[in-house]
Amino acid sequence: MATIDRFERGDRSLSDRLLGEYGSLQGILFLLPSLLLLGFIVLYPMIFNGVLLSFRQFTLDPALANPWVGLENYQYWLFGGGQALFLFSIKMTLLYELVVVPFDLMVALAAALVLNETLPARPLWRGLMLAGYAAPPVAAGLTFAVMEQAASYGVVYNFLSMFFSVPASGGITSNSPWAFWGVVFAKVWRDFGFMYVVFLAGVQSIPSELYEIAKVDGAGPVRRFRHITLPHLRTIIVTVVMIRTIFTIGKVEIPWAVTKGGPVNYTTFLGVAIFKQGFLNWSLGRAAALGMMFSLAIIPLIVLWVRSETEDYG
Amino acid sequence: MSHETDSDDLAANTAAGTGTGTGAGSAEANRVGLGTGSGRSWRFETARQGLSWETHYKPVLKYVALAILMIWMLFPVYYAFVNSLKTPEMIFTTSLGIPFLTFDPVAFSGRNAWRTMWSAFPFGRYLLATFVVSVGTAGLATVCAVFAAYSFARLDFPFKNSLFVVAVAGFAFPVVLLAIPIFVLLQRIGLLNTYMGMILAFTAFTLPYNIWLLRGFFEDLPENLEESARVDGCTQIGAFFRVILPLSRPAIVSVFIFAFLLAWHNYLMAFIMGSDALHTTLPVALLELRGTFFVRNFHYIMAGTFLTMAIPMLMYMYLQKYLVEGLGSSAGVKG
Repeated sequence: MATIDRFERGDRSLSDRLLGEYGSLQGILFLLPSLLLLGFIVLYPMIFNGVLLSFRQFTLDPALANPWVGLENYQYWLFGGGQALFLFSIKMTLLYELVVVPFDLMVALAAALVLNETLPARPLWRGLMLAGYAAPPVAAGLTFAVMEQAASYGVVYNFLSMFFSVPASGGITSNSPWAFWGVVFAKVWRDFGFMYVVFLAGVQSIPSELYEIAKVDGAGPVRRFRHITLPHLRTIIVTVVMIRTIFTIGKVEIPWAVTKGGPVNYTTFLGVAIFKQGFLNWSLGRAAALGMMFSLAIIPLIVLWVRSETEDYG
Repeated sequence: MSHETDSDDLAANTAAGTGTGTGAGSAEANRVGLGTGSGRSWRFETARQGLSWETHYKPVLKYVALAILMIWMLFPVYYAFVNSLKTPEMIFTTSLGIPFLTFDPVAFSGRNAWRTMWSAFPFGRYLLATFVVSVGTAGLATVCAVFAAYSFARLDFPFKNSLFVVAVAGFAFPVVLLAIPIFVLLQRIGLLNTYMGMILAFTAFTLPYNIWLLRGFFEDLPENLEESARVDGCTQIGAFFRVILPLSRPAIVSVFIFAFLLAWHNYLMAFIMGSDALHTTLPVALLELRGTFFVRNFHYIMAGTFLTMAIPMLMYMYLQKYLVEGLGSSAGVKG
């Protein structure tokens, strides 16, 4: 660009001359709407309201003051009445992650491998596999909730009760070990599409000559998968698992739509706990305190992910 | 990773695997040394093994796998659709819960959920609210993201990298953690229960991802595009509008759809910010419906669920090409 400048300095337009003078201005200017929005809607409320709120006993009535209560909201979760739910919720959230993410991964990888084969009308099938990802989480959760009822129409219940003894009163969504799996089914159905698309792109980028060579050398399908497909997908798998772990941890919609966090608090994962505390019990101060603790736990994860995403970027 | 190292790796592995044993048995058997050398060359033998997988099992298995995946994927959609065409009484007599589409004059008469849902519940209004919020969000997010992403990809300014990290990190931050502070903020400034408030908030949540996606796309465009445009007499801003933007149409379209879908899918923020009758979006309405008269309104719930799913699904189908490109590039597949 420098050479052009040197030769055409004479007839540069006004906007270009201004840019030459204030080069970094355009960058900031282009960024301004986004920065304002993010600052106003995300950063400002997070830092000021969120932190301050967690030290107050919040009431919605503007006539009442919101008295400072110091660390009381934190105390409630760590040592007080909320302690049992807090610990249980952490345990269930971790369990949820440990089940959902690998389940997602396996289904998505299988789907990507199958749809990478030559099939008639392949673009159609590839598109249809994204049906779940296109569905709103609430609609997906609600459909699964209906299918998991112990009733004539509860297809998942009817199917599962052929093999297991699921209690008939309450079906899958209201009995304690089953409700968890009820949420997991809906979650995987709804969410595996993201991994599937990424894996499909990854599998397609593997040069087919590698498989040809392997075939000539006598490698069977299992060995081809282990020694060609998996090594090629390794970086993608690491990235995608990281993304899904972070993005599953605070999601509320599906557990909320399937079980409402029940039975009692069995599927009240951390995000659901914050939601329930804030917008059902309307104790926003306590919810904010729980949110702050959750944030402290999740920020290192996010930093790790952003680092890995932008490391080419310095 | 480079292709050379991988094929070397593979060659080494296959050499190790086939070197230990020859003759009958699968490749796995060869590896553990079960074969004891029958005189035939291992190349011939294992090639035949591969052939039997290629010619006998794989052609059948891939269709079986496809069928299982498709049934699993499409059944809930089918379930919601078929049940939405029935009366509650018919739904309660489904055997095994697998609904079948049968023509029934009662179900297709005035009792059909698709005819009466609009008057039984304000579904028209839910639909309108959802559309207004989704289109508004998508428009605003796309415009903001295009400029911001271009700025991150091609322009220089102080604190660029830190700003980018902050912008992207916002996406990974769980919405529920922000819900409470944002609720309080919007309540204080009077934007609660307004389309404006909802659109601004939804845009802020979808923006980081859009910026990230578009930045990747802009960075993949050849560096000298702007320079050539300027040689041809464009100003730098002119080059952005006349050369870069038209070239980025697929990426911009996919960002628009993503933002639209994110707004359409949103339950949490919609529930918090638009809780009055006028601003209730479809996902919020669905869960409210579920709470009231679950049994009697069963077909309405199914119709509403199908409607809420079908519209974004149709968009996905139609614009699949753009979306697959967008999603595929987003996890660093290109990198």
